[in-house]
Amino acid sequence: MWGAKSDVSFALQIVALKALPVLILGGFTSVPGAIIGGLVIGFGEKLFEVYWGGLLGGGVEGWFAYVLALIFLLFRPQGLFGEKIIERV
Amino acid sequence: MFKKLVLGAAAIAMVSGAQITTSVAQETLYVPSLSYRTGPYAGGGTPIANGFADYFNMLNARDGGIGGLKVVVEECETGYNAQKGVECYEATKGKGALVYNPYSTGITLQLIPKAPVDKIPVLSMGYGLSAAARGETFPWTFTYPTSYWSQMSSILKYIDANGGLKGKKIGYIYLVSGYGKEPIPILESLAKTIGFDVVQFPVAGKEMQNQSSQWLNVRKEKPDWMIMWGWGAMNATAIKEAAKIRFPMDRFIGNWWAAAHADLNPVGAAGKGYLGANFSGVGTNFPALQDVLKLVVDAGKSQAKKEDVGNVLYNRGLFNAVIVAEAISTAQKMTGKKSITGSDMRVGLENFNLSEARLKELGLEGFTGAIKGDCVDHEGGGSIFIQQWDGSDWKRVSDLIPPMSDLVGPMLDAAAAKYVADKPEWQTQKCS
Amino acid sequence: MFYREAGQFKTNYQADQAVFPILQDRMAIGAILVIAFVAIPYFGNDFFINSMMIPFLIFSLAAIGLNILTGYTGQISLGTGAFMGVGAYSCYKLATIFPEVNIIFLIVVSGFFSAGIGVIFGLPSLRIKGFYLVVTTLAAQFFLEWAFITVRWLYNYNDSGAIEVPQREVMGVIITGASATPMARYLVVLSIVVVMTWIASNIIHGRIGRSWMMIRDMDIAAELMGVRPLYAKLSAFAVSSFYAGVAGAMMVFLWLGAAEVESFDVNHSFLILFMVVLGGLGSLLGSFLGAAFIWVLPIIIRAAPGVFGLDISAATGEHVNFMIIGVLIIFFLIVEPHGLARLWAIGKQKLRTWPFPY
Repeated sequence: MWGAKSDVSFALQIVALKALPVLILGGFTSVPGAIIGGLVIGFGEKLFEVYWGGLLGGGVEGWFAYVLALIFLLFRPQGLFGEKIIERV
Repeated sequence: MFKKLVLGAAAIAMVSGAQITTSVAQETLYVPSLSYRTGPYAGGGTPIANGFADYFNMLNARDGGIGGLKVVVEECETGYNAQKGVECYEATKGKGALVYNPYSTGITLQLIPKAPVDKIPVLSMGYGLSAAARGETFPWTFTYPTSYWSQMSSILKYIDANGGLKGKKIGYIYLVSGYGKEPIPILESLAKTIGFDVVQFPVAGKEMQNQSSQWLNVRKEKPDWMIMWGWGAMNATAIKEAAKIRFPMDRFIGNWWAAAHADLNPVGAAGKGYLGANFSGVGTNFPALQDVLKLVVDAGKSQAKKEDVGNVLYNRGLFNAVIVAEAISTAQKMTGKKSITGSDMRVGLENFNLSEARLKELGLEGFTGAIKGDCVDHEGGGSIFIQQWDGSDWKRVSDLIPPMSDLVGPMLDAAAAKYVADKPEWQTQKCS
Repeated sequence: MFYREAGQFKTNYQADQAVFPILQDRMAIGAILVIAFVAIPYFGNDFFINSMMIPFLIFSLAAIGLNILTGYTGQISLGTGAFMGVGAYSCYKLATIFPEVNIIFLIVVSGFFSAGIGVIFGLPSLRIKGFYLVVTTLAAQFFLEWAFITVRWLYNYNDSGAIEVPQREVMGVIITGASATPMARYLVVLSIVVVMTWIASNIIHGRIGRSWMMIRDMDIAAELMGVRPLYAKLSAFAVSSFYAGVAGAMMVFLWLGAAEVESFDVNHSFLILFMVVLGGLGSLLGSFLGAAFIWVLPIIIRAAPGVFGLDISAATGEHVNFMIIGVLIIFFLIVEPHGLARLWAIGKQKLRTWPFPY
């Protein structure tokens, strides 16, 4: 019954994937980076959904974190606080 | 070699499987049940499948089946997955299936075009394609007792009767999927005709347990009423969030997939006052349900726990079985033969008459409104009632509310016409 | 004893470079093709063709697509489901805009749309790889899923948000829509899959395929030897997405008949990745074996209790099924991490020396 465990349900498997963009944003090697990355993504997606979500038809939370991480990877692959040396190519 | 072995084994499995089942198909009534007891929506699928199977088992035990023939309910596990649903359909259709109850809008959409080809009707009970309520366009699809569009208009009627609708602001929170988006056209068009505002709060499926931003928006917009089209874990989360921002619960209405015991049990007393739409009675206080308890559940022939019998979704599955059983016996009477086919079943579904008297005869007096099968109207009127959560159980608080047929009807016609517009080969029927 | 190449001499370079240098292999391929084209349509029943063979072939094609990207070029992708969706939705739009055009042509053309989208989301692969690439392909997956729901133009403003396949004929035979016979659809699917597998085999054994494999094995060395990573990686993304797109279009048009966005969700991306890993990275045969393992085996397990007269409930059967498949996947990955294709190769090697292995 999902009723009994409505806070821990099957849908969580997708939530677990979101740890990846958080890590990328903060930088893989940095613990404070992970915390700040989590905060940035958490706040960012809520604010984005609240203020601009309606313009795009809603439901943007589903992909916001990943696209943010994608943009970061294009321009700053080491993340916010990661070490500069990153395997190239 | 491996592949050939697999293929060989598969071929053997197919052949022997087909032989076993054809031998029993002759002297029984075969009703496949596309259930989902696994996967993310198992919490809703399990009680429905239990109620559906238990009613037929009760008929088998009490009356020896329908018209002297035993009903065989075979479950096929879909996991709420459209591809597995099609696989189940292919696996069971050759065994003399009478009717399909897919319990998933996704699977229903797959089966609608297949139904006329294989001559097996689809009964999507209050879900699926709203336009299928138009029997002349969709001869093989039925949505008794209502459709999403009719239901939405009934809910709005309830709001109108409880404080008026004109000039009010209605919030609509929904799951971003075909299911959640289905009633939006009707909501928007009624907003224009009647004169109220609509604010939409979409919830992405992956984020269904994390609705803080939607409810922040609700706090900002301050709607007078909230209507919810949710399913699965989304419902309990939404009600908890609503309680957190102190949204008045008696102004928050869920549709019939968002108003079950499974949704409100985890919320408990915090959800007191929450309203929900429904069309099947709650509880076991009906003679038919007592028979189910006595002959099936207590006899250990059910997969349901005793305390779950009579909850909202269990009774909905049971109600679905009642409609199927009525249609079977109508078809038997009309054709004069005991063993019927999918085509006979279609006729039965268009001609059964579940009147108040008949409901009483079945031991289901007051369980639901009277429904009559009809050739034109495949949703059978479309009435619902509103129930309220009292902190531990559901209580019915309204009479049956018929839909705004004058406003919904033309939209259903237009949608049905649109469905067939690019399908020149689509078979329709003429109801004289 | 029977599987031995003794006495088969290669007298020219062409024979030496053949994909199937051994006569017995060529005969086996021919036999499989005959079975697939003649025996199965003739003897198979509707369920076997519709629920086993057609999906098996479609998933095999999608697995070939992912194998090109992951197995041959070494770029992990979790966006296959969405790329299949791009193929399906563009095929739907094309079929409704140009109703008179041959539907098989449209299915193949829709692969190009998918390829275009694949290239766009493949761009980050020029700077990153591994886990990072997983994130960008996930971004593609979730963004496209959202687009399939939100951009209502894609499904012609259908109220249910679903695409429904119109009926189309090719040379007087109905091949899409509910009235199409399983046999007609099966033969179309089979022909497309056979032709595209043949093309894939040629690409892989040619110059492009070799540059992909060089990038996979060591990108810096490949660059020094004159392989341009830009072209190699983006062409891999393009070809891979093309295959996925065609598979997606076939899935909706020739198998399901209607689809919602759930048919292209991230679980399908995982499913196809499992097929590729289990079947064998970098093997076309492995794509077929993996698809058979993941798709066909559960159906057989589900049917098994009925054959042996056991009466277990559908849900229990499904749970047992999950467990058996899960255990088998883990077992195979421990025993043979290179997948079923490698197992097959070992078996072939044993067969060659049998019955005198020393």
